[in-house]
This record gives sequence, structure tokens and C-alpha cells, in this order.
Amino acid sequence: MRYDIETIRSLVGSDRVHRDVYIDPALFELEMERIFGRAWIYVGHESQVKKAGDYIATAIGRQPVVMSRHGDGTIHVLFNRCGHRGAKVVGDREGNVRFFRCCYHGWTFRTDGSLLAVPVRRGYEGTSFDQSDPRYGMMKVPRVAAYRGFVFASLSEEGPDLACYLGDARSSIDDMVDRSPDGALEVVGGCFRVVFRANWKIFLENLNDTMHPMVVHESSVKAGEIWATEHLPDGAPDPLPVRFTRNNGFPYAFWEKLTLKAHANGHSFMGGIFPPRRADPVFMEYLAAMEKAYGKERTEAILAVDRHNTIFYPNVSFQSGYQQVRIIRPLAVDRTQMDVYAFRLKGAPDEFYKHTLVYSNVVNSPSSIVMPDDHEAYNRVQEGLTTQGSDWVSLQRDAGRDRGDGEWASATGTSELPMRNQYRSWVRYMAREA
Amino acid sequence: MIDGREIEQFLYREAMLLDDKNWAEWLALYTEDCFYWVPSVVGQKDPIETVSLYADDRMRLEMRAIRLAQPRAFSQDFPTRMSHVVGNVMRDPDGGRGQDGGLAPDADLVVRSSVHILEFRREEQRLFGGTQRHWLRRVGGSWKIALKRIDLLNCDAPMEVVQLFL
Repeated sequence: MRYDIETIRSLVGSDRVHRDVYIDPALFELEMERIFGRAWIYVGHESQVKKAGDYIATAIGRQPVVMSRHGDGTIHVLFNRCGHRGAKVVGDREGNVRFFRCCYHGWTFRTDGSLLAVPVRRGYEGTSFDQSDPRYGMMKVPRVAAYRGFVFASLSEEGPDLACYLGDARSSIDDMVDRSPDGALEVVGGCFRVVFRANWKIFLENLNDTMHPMVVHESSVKAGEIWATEHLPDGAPDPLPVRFTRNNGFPYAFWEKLTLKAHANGHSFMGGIFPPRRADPVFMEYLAAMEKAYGKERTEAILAVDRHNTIFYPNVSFQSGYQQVRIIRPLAVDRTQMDVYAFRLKGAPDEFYKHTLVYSNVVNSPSSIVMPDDHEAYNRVQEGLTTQGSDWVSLQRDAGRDRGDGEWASATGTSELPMRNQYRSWVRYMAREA
Repeated sequence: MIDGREIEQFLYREAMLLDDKNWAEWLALYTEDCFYWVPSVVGQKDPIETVSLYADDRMRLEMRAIRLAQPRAFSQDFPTRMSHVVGNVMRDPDGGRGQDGGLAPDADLVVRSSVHILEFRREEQRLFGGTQRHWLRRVGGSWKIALKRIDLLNCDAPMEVVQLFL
């Protein structure tokens, strides 16, 4: 089916979404062009390319790209394509090179993408080939910008600049970086690449969905509760794996009171479910490092921020409390890969960093004790939506009660405001208004 | 003198308990201070500088077993099935040197073996495989696992969730 603008608009109501948005491959193709081809897409963190010649290979939408550190210290995002016959130049996921070399005919490229050399140059004498033309190099993606070490790129020449695009939601990136006593983050080795059989937007919706944890995660909530009952004396603080599982089972009253904020361009965040201040000795050591770096007052202000998942539409989610970044990589209309990176807060005690690792393993690893039930739900939504049961997905919870303009607060912490906000942006991109 | 056949039987028994999903008896093969480690990159040095697919102490292993027993573990609505084949069992030629992730478990013997794990759930069969190492401690009259490390061939591949023990 071909989609004209009016048809696209008709797929999204103020409180509902048509099922074709999740299951039609033609709409997925349009999303790759109009959303992933236009928006600012998170690519990687500067600590992944520390030294000159360092690179990582990733993708924007479905297009392979390389993020590299050039000799002059600048970071570049290049299409992973040889300027000669089009072969993907970089085959590995990461590494360090003096220059990139295509495996096919040996063309070489500097780490800023410019063409370095072509074997037997005289063959091009008198032809239209022009060594200085960037098209014969590895082309730079149209726009690249970073915010506090996080590198984004856009495949579109036009559009708002990154700071404007992130808007006030960028305070969640500040929250992540400010928690480092040195004000800097460093990526942890390894990456979880978890695949599920559902449309990318179903995951995005789930990130600020506060009515699912107590239902979907019942099995891991019980695992934490039962383990604690069997092993801990009354009143003992929960060990981290117990906290990371059983907190999902907080009563509805807790989630109702949670903060939910939606921002322009589809971004949103939810309030925290793991209090950032704790009483254990490891936290106290961390607190001392923070106060030494920032002073008492500023430290108080940093730690007063309490957020769980922040979504930057359309492809990345930050969990600032435990330094997790989840990148969405749409593979097909019904298949998505999530790349999960953990970060170390520079200047924080080693033991404090280990809490990040525990979170990574309990929550975000492919063998997470929490995530399989999420993925089961995503996969079932994808399958359920292929039926003719109804054409519409409901996003009605607290609809009509969102307050604000350009930045919205929900009536309750269990509102479906974040999803409605995502579809406000979806329509703008898909109808070519953004 | 260590009886090689006894060690083989011990590993086969572990495989059987995993296939049977007899988590209680499987956990009884492990020491109280055990660690169960599945690296996420080839040649991973430790479970600290790099994230791991599994980096479980006994508590986390027990929590997994409790979860799998819950009637509302939705992702087990169609329960996962597994079949383990263990072979090439030998005393680790390097005594596990450089492989213990810096955990330095108290062990009397390090055994290296190959493992192939066939997994099925709902509509898809998957194959995992690689090299596993067991750091074994003699406790009373029997062997216990102080550390198990499994280096999967596809440790860094994009994969769907893995729910059971490998």
C-alpha cells in the first residue's frame, strides 16, 4: 500500500494508534526514510573512540556507519561504504587503524573519511575521477554533534540543531554525567545485543509504561521477594539484585504518584524507582567523592534528581541512576535489536561501579532475570496486532488530562502521556512536518 | 590420585540435571561461594572491566531458579527445553591459569570440556556451544563447583533472551 499524507495522519488519533503502524512493512520503510533518515540518532560515546584511529562500526537506521577519531582529535561519523564500487569498508565492530582500507580494490581512506590513495592512479588520468571529491572517500553523514560526550548524527542536512532537538530533556544526560565526581563517563567493555520479534516502537512505548512492571514482571518480583524472605532477617536492606527485581512490584499507589514528563520531539522521562541516596558504606564513599568534587550544596542538587528511563526519540534511552544506555536498532517491521552499554562514572569508587555491573546483568543482559518477560510481551503485541480483532491500539489512560504545551506533565504517574507524545512526533515526521 | 572417570560422570550428571531442570539438585553441585560466569567477549579477562552474559553468585542463581518456578513467568508459558552434550573432558592443561577472571577460587582441580547446548522454545531451535571450565573443590567426599566459566562461540552475537542455565 502507498501512503499519502492524509492516510498517514488518519493512522494516529489523540489517544489511539492504528495497528498497521506496527505491522506494515511499507510504513517501516517510510519510517527509515522519514524518521531515522531525519531525526538526530544516537551513535556512540566519545570514550568508545579514545585515541586517534579508534573506530566503532554501527548503524543509523539500517545503514552501516563508522564512528572514528581522527588524528586531529575530531570525531567523525562516516557511511561504511567505499567510494569506488560501494563495498562496506569496515568489517569488524571496533578497532584502531592508521587508515581504513577497502578489502576489494585496496582504496584507502583517512579516519576523517577523505580518500588517501588509489592503487595505480594513472588508470584514472584523463577520466572524470577527482581525488579531492568527497564522494570518492567514505562520505561523512550530513550532520554530527555531541552533547556532553554523547555523539548523535542526522542523515538530514536540515532540521534543528542537537541542543534544540534534545531540548529540556537533555537534563537527563546532565543527570548521567553530573553523577561522576570527575564530570565524565567512560564506556564499559562489551555490549549486550538483544533481539526481539517486535516493532521498535513497542519497546520505546514500554520504557515509560508504568502500568506494566507489576504485571509483566511478576515472576522476577516474586524471585526477589521469595529470596529475601528465605534469606534475610526482617528489616535488612535489600541486596541490589533483590531491589532491582522486587521494586517492579511496588503497589499501584507508588506508580500513580511517579513523575512523568513529556517533551517536544517525542522525548520523555519517568521518575525514579531506585532512590538515588542510600545509607550503605559504598554509597557514603561515593558521596564523599562527590562532595569533594562539587561541594555539599551542588552534590545535594545533583543527587536530588531522581529519574528512571529517559527516552530520546526515536532511538535511545538513558537510565542515569545505574548508567545504562539502550540503543534501538530497527531491523525489520517485526524485528528489533537493542544494544545496551554500561558506563563508569569517572572518579567514583570501584565498589560503586560494581553496582552498575549488577544492574547490567540483572536487568539488561540477554540472560537478564527481568527482561525475558518484557520481550514476551513485545512479541505477543506484535503477533496480536496481526489479527483483525480490532484496528486500534488504545492509549487512553489519562488522555485529555495532560497539562502543558511543548512540555507536558501527566495527570498521574501511570498516564499513557509518553506514548501519545511519541505518536505526536511520529505523525510530524511521517507527514513531513518535521 | 584423581579418577578421570569420576570427573566425567560428575560433568554428565550436571548436564543431566540441567536438561531435567532439576535446579535444586543442580545448585547442590555448587559451593556456597560459587560463581557462574558466561563472558560477553572472546578471551574476556574478568567480569569487572567488561559486562558478562551471566555473572552470578549463588544468590542470583537461586533467584533465577525461583523465577523459573513461578506460574506467572510469562516467557515460560511455553517452557524452554534444553539438551546438553559434554565431551572432550580433560584436566585443563594450564590449570585454569588466566581464565578465572581474577576470582581465584579455592579449587583442587580445573577441568576443561566442550559443551553443545540445543535449546528449543515455541517455534525455534537454537544451538549454543563452546568451551567450559569447572573449578572443582573436594568437599567432604564429593566434588563441588566453585567456579564455572562458559566461553560461548557466539558470546558477542546479537541474540534473543536466554532464560535457562547454560
